[in-house]
Amino acid sequence: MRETRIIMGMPITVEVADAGDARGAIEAVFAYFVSVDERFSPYKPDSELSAMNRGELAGSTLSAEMHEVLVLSELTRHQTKGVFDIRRPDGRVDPSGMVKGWAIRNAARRLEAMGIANYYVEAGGDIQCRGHSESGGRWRIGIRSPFDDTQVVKVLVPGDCGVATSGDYVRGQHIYDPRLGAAPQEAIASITVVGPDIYEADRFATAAFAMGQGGIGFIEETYGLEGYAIDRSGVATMTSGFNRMVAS
Amino acid sequence: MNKTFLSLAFLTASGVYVAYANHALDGLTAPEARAEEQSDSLTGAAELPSKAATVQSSAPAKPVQHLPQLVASAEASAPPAATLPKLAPVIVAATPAPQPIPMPLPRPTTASVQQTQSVAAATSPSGYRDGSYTGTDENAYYGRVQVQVVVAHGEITGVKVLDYPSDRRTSRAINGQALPMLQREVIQAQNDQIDGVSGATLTSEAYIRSLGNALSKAGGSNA
Repeated sequence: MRETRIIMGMPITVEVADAGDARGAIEAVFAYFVSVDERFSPYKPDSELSAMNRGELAGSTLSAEMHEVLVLSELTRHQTKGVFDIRRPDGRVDPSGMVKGWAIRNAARRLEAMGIANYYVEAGGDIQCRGHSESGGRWRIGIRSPFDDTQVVKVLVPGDCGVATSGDYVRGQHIYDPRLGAAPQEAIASITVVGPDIYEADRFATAAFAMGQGGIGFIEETYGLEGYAIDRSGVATMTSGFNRMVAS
Repeated sequence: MNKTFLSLAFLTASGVYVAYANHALDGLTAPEARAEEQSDSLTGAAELPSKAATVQSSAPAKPVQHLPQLVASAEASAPPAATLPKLAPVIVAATPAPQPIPMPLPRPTTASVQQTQSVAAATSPSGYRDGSYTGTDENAYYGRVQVQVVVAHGEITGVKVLDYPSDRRTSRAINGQALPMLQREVIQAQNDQIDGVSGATLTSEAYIRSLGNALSKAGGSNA
């Protein structure tokens, strides 16, 4: 059973391929994402994040979840040589870049705690999958072209893992302002990272994209990760173990 | 390289974001709902004259191709019937809409389609004051979104995304890192069967909010 809903301002898809109460499991996952949105939404004035950024909450008055995200963000900042940083110039803290992958992984853990071994959870293009799909085969994950969102440029059979892509289609913006000119050919259009879970894949994809051309080298050097970076001219660079996951 | 490609990707993506945003905005209050209507007229008008022909030739089919997965998923579900399944008829209905660019703008209900079309008709000839208007810097879950709208002769002539979901803005780039010898290839479209797609997405809600804010500054008749 597969279902998509819009939560946290993005489409979230959950597929459960196990026999049993797939409906109940999917409902529980969506309920979890709603609760994450209520806590971490930058829009909701009554979210914990909003209260924290107004200075109403700090230290021991923060929830365990908020603490965890803040600690993980700080850890990631160190692991990415300072590239991943949730502190904003205005003094606020914006853990949004951390929350999505973290929430998908927690959702997956909830499914596993319910005894589910075959699932797919995707939020806004970031995926965690395990086991097999309803058709019985291993999950097959496409990498979307950064130049045409109807096109898939690579098909992976990555096993039990997380797949995240960082990039911005919006850089096509220069078409609206001729003064900006074309983007440099060597600029990275997107980078896809496969990791042991989506939290790992997402945070390192975010950091690697921010590193530009050096990003794929950083993924190559980081244990447990594989990556596929696509530059502006449509040339991809892949890490040394990436081809093992490509569908034949 | 290929500017046309990029513009299509952006325009196509914009249509999809608006589609998602319609749902995100279902429960919003009046001023925010207006932003949604304004964005519809805007997306239709947001082309540079020189690009219009190119866009017309290939843009319309894309969002339709892009969405079947979402629609199919929704069909399998009962409770969210109030949200997602609306996408399906909406896309088809919106495709022939008399917009400057025939972008298929998905809309949640038939009633909403009529409403937004009348709004577009009323505001696109005039209503907005000439100038450049910057929307609010909106928080997406994975970055910031800020939109600037340019109005010339009462028409919206451009939309620029000033701030986009990328962590680059608050980040320090690493320079001079030697790239190891890694395999390279030219990307190629694949047609294999897949269960899901990984790709960067732009959050709809942040985009629509910033856009609505910019348009309210431009002072359209419905702002």
